[in-house]
Amino acid sequence: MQYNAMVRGQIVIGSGEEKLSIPVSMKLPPDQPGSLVVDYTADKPEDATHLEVGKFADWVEQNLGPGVFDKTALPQSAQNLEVALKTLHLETTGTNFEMAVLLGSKGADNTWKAEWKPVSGFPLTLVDVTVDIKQV
Amino acid sequence: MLLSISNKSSSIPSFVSRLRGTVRLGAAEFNLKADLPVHEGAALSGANSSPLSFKHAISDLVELTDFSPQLPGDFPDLFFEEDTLRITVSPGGALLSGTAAGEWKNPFGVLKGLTLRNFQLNYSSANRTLGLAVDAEFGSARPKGRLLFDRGKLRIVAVTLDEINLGSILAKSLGIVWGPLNALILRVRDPAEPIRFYYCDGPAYAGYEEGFRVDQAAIEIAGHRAEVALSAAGGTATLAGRFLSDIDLGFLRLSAADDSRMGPALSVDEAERALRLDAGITFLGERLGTSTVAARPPSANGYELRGEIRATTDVLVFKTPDFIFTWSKAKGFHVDTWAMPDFPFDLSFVELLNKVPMRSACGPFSSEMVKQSIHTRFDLKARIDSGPESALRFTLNGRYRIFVDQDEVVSGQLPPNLTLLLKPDEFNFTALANGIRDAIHGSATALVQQLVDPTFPERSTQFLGALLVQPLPEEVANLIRCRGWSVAGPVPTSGPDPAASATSEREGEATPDRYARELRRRGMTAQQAASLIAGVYPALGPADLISLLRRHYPETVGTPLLMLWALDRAGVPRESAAQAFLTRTPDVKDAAFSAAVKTVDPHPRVEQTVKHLQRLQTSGLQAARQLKAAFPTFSATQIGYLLLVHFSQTVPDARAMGTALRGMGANYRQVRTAIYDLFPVLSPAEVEAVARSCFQGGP
Repeated sequence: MQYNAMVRGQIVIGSGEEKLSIPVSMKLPPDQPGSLVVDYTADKPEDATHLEVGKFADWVEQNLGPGVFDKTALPQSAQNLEVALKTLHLETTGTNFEMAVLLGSKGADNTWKAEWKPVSGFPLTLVDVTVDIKQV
Repeated sequence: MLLSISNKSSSIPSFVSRLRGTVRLGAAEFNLKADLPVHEGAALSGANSSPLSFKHAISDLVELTDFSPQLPGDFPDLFFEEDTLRITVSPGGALLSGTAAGEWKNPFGVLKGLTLRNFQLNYSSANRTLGLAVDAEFGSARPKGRLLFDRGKLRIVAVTLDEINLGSILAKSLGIVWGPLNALILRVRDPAEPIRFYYCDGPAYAGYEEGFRVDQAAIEIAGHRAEVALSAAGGTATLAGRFLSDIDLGFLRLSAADDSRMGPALSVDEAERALRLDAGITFLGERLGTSTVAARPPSANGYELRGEIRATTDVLVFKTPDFIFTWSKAKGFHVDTWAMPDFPFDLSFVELLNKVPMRSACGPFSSEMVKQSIHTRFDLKARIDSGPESALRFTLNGRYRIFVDQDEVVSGQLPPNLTLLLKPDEFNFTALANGIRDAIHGSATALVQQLVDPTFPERSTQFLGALLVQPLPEEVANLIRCRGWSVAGPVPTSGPDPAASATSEREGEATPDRYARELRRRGMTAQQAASLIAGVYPALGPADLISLLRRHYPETVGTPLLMLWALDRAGVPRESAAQAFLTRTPDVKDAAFSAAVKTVDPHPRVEQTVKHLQRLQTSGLQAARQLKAAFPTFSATQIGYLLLVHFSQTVPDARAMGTALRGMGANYRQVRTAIYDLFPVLSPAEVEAVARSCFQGGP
């Protein structure tokens, strides 16, 4: 009889009360010895917990490094958005990291959408607004 | 678990981040991206991922701003090909830019001849004015253009030009021909504001006037710039504008009719095919009211300015100046005729009489001999042309009139073509009046010499009789006699004094004989004396006059021509003269008589031609040529006769006549014959000498 072993846990983005807790699991033994791989794709990131974009930027600065994602680099109207994790891929060897977070906010109907109206008073809307961070 | 990223090689990992999103416009998706980090704010940018209808894109764009798109019916179907319309979102706002291919000919059906291509959309959330830049083609010009929307409606198509030929716009877009005005070049009025050639659909918008219009243009007339605008409506075009300053030619200034600080206003006179300037006229420093001046661009032969100066009041001694002028840069200023009636200038006749050359020493006239209430007036016609060094050349012709006690006693032609130059520092009426006086004064000696010319004794008689205090003292009569001049009236021993006549009649001698003898003694020919005799003795009939002339002037009435000439001078009707001559000369040769009649009594058409040439103030030489050309069968004698009788100012003697005949092509023999026929007092040797002198000095 063959048995599979899994390592389960949570990846926490953010800190304190404002954080995203992402449930992850890794298969044991790994496909490549010595390298555990995490692949996460949110089913409905709009409905998940959201984090202020500033908090997310702080987390990125602390954990990935300064300048990777700077809140102030965003247009002013984007600095008040929230992020929702869409995908995450990391390998414990530390050589491959990718994540995509949606940027969005709650609309008048109180549902969270990954949309952004970049110009105040001008009805141009970007949908599927996403920040991709990738290790190179 | 906490995430901590590191790698086994312990080197610091590096990351890239990117922001992306999608915009949907006109059924096309735009995938916008921006690489992070950036130092000055992210700018997302992306293009259409599929072809996009221009109309759909415009529709969505204007609908974004709650307006309904309205494009004219002739607007073409245009497409933004894939990846040709770009949307950029930056901290400054949203910007759409891209180029749609295709072309729009004759936009709105109004801007005929214009083709638009490469519709370049450039829309910014910052000003939210929907506009398109376009490349345009108009004839050989490749201007840039723009399309402007007003709340979704395409209102304006405009192209900008640095310069354009007016005729090109009129012909291509309006189907109009304005003749010489077609050559006008429209240029920018301000380097920062090129010419606009546009159509505005509906009321004025965004600085554009309603309808078809070409504005922000300037033209140059007479070296002066005027701002103009061309508009068209209902098949009628209008060009209107205003000069930026007065048109100042120095002697002539055209200003605004209403004295505003701008120059004259202009419009188009389609009938004249010229620009019409409503101008205030200042000529030689005097404001002479307003006038309409026609203006045209330079051409080979035409004028650039043409107008009428019509003063309503006198200016100094000039009676209500009224004349038509033209001006062009090539030919300068020109006035064909400026009539200057009644120009006052009193001549000093004592001084002038004393200046007339004398054959022998005679004493001078003095002021007491001349009546005091003598005035001279001149009816002048001035021609004006541009002269050297920016001067104006006035050429004067006309008549003089001499008044005694306000009665006109003598009149006549001035020597032709008196000339004066008015220099730029003399462009005023005072200087002009002085110049005319100087010109007249310079010719006055010749004028008086002409008046006392013994060749025309009746004129001399009339002049001196009116000028000199009457009755003539013996001293004055001697002065006249000494000079060989003629004067009528009771001149002792020189006229038919009634008392003396009575005595003579008692002594058995008829008075006309005595008078004829006296006139001959003064050196007159029969032709010169005949009119005086007939004037004093009007009762003499043709037969008696023929007898009288034959008795006293046999040398100068020896041919039928000479006799008929004398009778003509005496005022004898031509038919009566011929009849009397034939009666008293039955043996006359037919050919000689016929030739004489043809000469003295030419066809009315000949007389008409002569009068025409006189009106033109043609010189004797020119008259000879034109008479010969008009009547090629005429002999040298016939033409010589016409010159002596009708052009005596320039053909006063045998040599002048011979020279004129030679100039018209007569040979030596013909000239000699004419002199022989018409100057009987000359001996054969003198005739030969004069004829030879006419052929000396070149062909």
